[in-house]
Order: sequence, then structure tokens, then C-alpha cells
Amino acid sequence: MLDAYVITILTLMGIWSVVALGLNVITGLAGQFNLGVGVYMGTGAYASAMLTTAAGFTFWEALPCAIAASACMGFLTGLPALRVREDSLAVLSIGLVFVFESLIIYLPYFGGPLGISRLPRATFAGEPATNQAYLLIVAGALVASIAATLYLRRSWMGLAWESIREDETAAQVLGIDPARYKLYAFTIGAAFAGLGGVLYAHFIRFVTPYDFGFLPSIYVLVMVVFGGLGTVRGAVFGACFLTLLPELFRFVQDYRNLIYGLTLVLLMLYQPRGLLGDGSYAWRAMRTGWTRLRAIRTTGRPYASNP
Amino acid sequence: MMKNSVFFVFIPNPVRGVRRAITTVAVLGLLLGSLALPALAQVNVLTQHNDNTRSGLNPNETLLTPSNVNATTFGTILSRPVDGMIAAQPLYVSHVNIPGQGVHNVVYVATLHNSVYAFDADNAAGGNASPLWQVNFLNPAAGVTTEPPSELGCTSTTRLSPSASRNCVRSPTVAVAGVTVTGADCLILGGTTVIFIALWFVIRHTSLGFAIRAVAQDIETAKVMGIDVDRSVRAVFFIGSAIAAFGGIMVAILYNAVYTSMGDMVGYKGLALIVIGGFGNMTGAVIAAFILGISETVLITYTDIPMSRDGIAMLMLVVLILIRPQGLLGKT
Repeated sequence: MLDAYVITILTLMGIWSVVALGLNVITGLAGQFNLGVGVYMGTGAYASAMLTTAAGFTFWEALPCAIAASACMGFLTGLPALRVREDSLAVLSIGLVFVFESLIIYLPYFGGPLGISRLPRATFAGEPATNQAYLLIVAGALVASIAATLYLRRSWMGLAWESIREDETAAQVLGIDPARYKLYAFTIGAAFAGLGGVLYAHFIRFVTPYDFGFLPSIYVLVMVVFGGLGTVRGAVFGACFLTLLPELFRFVQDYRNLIYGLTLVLLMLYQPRGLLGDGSYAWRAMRTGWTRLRAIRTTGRPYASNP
Repeated sequence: MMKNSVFFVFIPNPVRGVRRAITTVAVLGLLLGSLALPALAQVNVLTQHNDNTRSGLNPNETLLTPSNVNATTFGTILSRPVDGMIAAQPLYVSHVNIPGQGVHNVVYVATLHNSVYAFDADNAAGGNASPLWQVNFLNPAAGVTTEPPSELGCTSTTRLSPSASRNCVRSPTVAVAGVTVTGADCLILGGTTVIFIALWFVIRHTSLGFAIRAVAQDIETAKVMGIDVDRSVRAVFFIGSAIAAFGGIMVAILYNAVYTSMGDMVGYKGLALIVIGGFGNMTGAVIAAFILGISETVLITYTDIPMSRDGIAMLMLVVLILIRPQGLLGKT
């Protein structure tokens, strides 16, 4: 039996990990700089909120619909990426997230700035889920997202994404259609982020437009870069650690955000590839340790004393 | 592909770009965080439910904790007579300098009798026994009355603007062909013109500008040619920050207010304008800025697009970037 506080933190860590994995597909794997992941998360959350409160869907019925809605949103916002690249794409995604937030606030269907409240609880085995049961649901979603990302990376699509990320022109020469694979990346990444959005909405059970604006989008990008852009371990670690960090520094109260910012600045200065990214200090040390362990296990001798 | 010096430092390619951008955001956060700290000591309540989000949440509370909110340390400090019932939420601002009465922590109260009071929040003794000031807005001749029978006057909560009330700068105004132009307007337009010409001169006709352009075009070659790359990068940051600071001061004078988040939206729009103008193209950026400023105002005034002003601006930026990804006037 876990403390309610611990359960809340763990659930949030899981939810942000799923969203970070979504952005990792778009920015990390396919290399499409995106500062507007809040759009996809918000689409998922609002779709689910509307379906469960206005249309009477249950959580499990609304979940696939909401994910599909975010995937569509990912496809639509992926279309501009076919026309602009890099810096322009980043700026464009900033624009999109503000347009999205503004539309949600001003269109008369989404509850305006007050958002949508009284979302129903998710059901688990036929009963309204307790926070513990919900943690299990989130954990399940996280495991599914990790498995899906790992599979995608090893698939043909993952290789295509990597080649586009490294050199788009070269990939095109090799017969890979960048437009197609970029759209796949946006659609799949948005679906992950939408899943995170649904989980978030039914955990907090109250959504406002500001939960999915520019700053949350930046936080997710920070999580992915903090852990190590383009790696699954990095996205999950970054999301968990940066969700936990403000809680760890609760004792410094007002200065929490200062500590948060300072951590990021130091990390970017000394470990620009992320804390667990390829080539980072921690990851190299772990790899070396693992190789040594394996050497000892197979030969019974330390690595250094192998002939 | 051509690289631009400002964006080399800012966003050259995904990995480095993300790193740079996040460092910038984090440094900004640090600076703004430290700016906001003095204000956090006692939280101002500037409108109903604390702030413009109207959520009722006070995320910056520092004095109240679960341990000190109890019957022994928490309760009525003082009560003051007013001329009617109170429906609007009383508001609180710390450290207000009231001319002739010194600095007070002030509670603002509006009554259904259409009066607004300012009371000292901390004690009611001595000089603070009477309100710091009181204004009654009843004026039957001008149609300002209360609603009978139960006297319904000022029922909703206003929004206080702390900085505007403290440092009121009035600019002189002149009328040109029926259009009122304030001194601030002239200063902004004139200052922008001067800066534009000066910047153009520095970039085009000095050795520093030559170095900056060379670094923008190809940093490796520039280094080989003996150009001090670090120096021109430093200069770019120095000049850029100084111009941005001028913009900040002008915005402060124009709206008569300064607050820690005043640069947020301007910063995002500025970034987008650089892209629309064409990287490094000064004329393009200025043209884009004018197009954006004029059309967002026209659209918000004459159409019913269901979006905020910033939302419309961002929508236009997205459309413009899609129409001309290479920038309005192309890259220099």
C-alpha cells in the first residue's frame, strides 16, 4: 500500500513519460523540431473530456477515439513540416500551440477559459478506478508506449526516420520519401502524446486550455532533451526526474523554480547530449561497467586482465 | 546551406538548437524567477480569485502553512466601517506608496453603495483609523445610481494594476490630421528609425559588421580568414540585447506598466518575425512586424474571429511562414 502522495507523483511521472515518448518520436527519432506537443496532448485530453462528459462515453470507449483524434491532429500539423524545416518549423510549432490554446478558449464549445470539469473516473474491472488502480492503468500505458517505441526504432520506419534526421537529402537520394515518413512520425508521436493527454485528463479530472499551452510543451521538450534526445531511456528518465525534481526541492519553497532552471543550465553546459544520451558521461560509465561485468561473468576474470 | 550568426548561437541544427534554446529559456526563467522573488514575500491579490486566470489558486503563498492556519494564529485582525454591503472581493497590494501618507500594505474594498475604500491592512490605530482614501462614484446626474430596493451598486471585482498606479507617466499629445499622437508614439517610431539606420550602418559599413556577416555565412571559413569569431558573437548578443531593451522600455512607457512576464509574448512574436522577414534580413523583419501589428489590430477590431489577439497574430505568422518559408524578402 503506497502513500496517496507517492501514488500521485508516480502517476504523474508515468503520464509525462508517455507524453515525452511521443515527442521523442517526432523530435528525437525523426528529427522534426517541435515546440508544440501541447497541441496533441490537449487534443487527446479535450476529445476524451468532451466524449465522456457530453456524449456519455466511458473512459475505455473514449480512449481510442481520443487517441485517433490526436493522431489526426498530428497528421494535420505534420503537413506544414513538409514545406518548412528546422528553425522555421520550430517557430511554426510555437505558433500552432498558441493558435490551439486560443481556439479552445474562444470557441464556445470547449468550456472557455474555465475548461471542462467533473470528468468521470476511469473504470477498472467494472468499478470506478481508485488512484492505485489508475496507477496500474498508467503503468500499462507506459509499458505499451515503451514497447511500441522500441519496436518502431528497430523497424524499417525507425531506420528511415534516423536517415531523415541525419541527412534529409541523402535519405531522399536513397529512395526514402521524407514527406511520408515525417507524416508517420507526426501521426504516431501525436497519438502517444494524445494517450498521455487522456490519462492526464482522467487523473486530474479537470482540463483547462492552459494545461496544454506553450509552457507545458516546453517542459516536455526539456524532459526529452534532459534525459537524452532520441533515446527511450532518456525520455522516460527525463520525464520522471523532472516531475520529481520540484518535489525533492519542496523545502526551498520559492526558490524551487530557480533550482529547476539552474539544473537545466548546468546540464546543458556540461552534458549537452542529455544525462543518459548516447555519449553522455553517465551512459558511458554504465556501458563500461556492463562490459566489465559481462567479461567477469564469462571468463571469471576482470576485463583488464583478459589477454 | 547558409548559416546565420544569430541563429548559430540560437538554433543551428536540431541537437545544438535544442540545447541553445533550452539554455536560453532556462536562463530567462532564472532571471525572471529572481525578479519575481521580492514580490513573493507577500502575495498581491489584484483581482477576483487572485489573478487573471481566476482559478482561485494562489500558487505563490509563502506565509500560510497548514501548521500556522489555526485558531490561535489565524483570525480577524481588525474591522472597519464602510457605507454599504460588500459583494466584490476585497483586493490586497503590498508596499503601495500613497502620496503624503507613506508606504502601506493596502486593502481595497468596493461597496454596493458605489464607494471604493483603501485601508491600511496591518493596523487601524492612529493615522490609520480612517481610510487612506475613499472615492464615491454615485452621480445620479450622470446616470450612476444604485439599483433599488436593496441598493445594488458595485458588485463585481475590479482589476488593479499595481505598476500603473505607482509610476504614472503621462506623455504629451499632439493631434495630426485628426489622429492623436502621444509623445511615446513619436519616441517609439523615431527611436526605431534611428536604431534601424544605425544597425544597418554598423552591419553594412563597419569592420565589425563585416565580421558579423562573415561569421553568419560560414563560421569555419571566417575563422580561417582570421576573424575573431567569439568577438563578433559577443557583439551580436550585446547589440541584440541592447535593442531588445530599448523595445522593452518603449513597451513599458506605452502601456505604463512593467511586469515580469511582459516579454514573453513579444519574444515569441519576435522570433516568428525573424523567420517571416527572412533570416538576417532587417528590412524583411521590419516589414513583417508592421504587417503583423497592423493586421492583428484590424482583424481584432473589425472581425469576429473567435480568438485572442495573440492567437490571431500567431495564426497569421503560421500562414505567412507557410506561404513564404524562405521569408518575405528571402535570406540575405
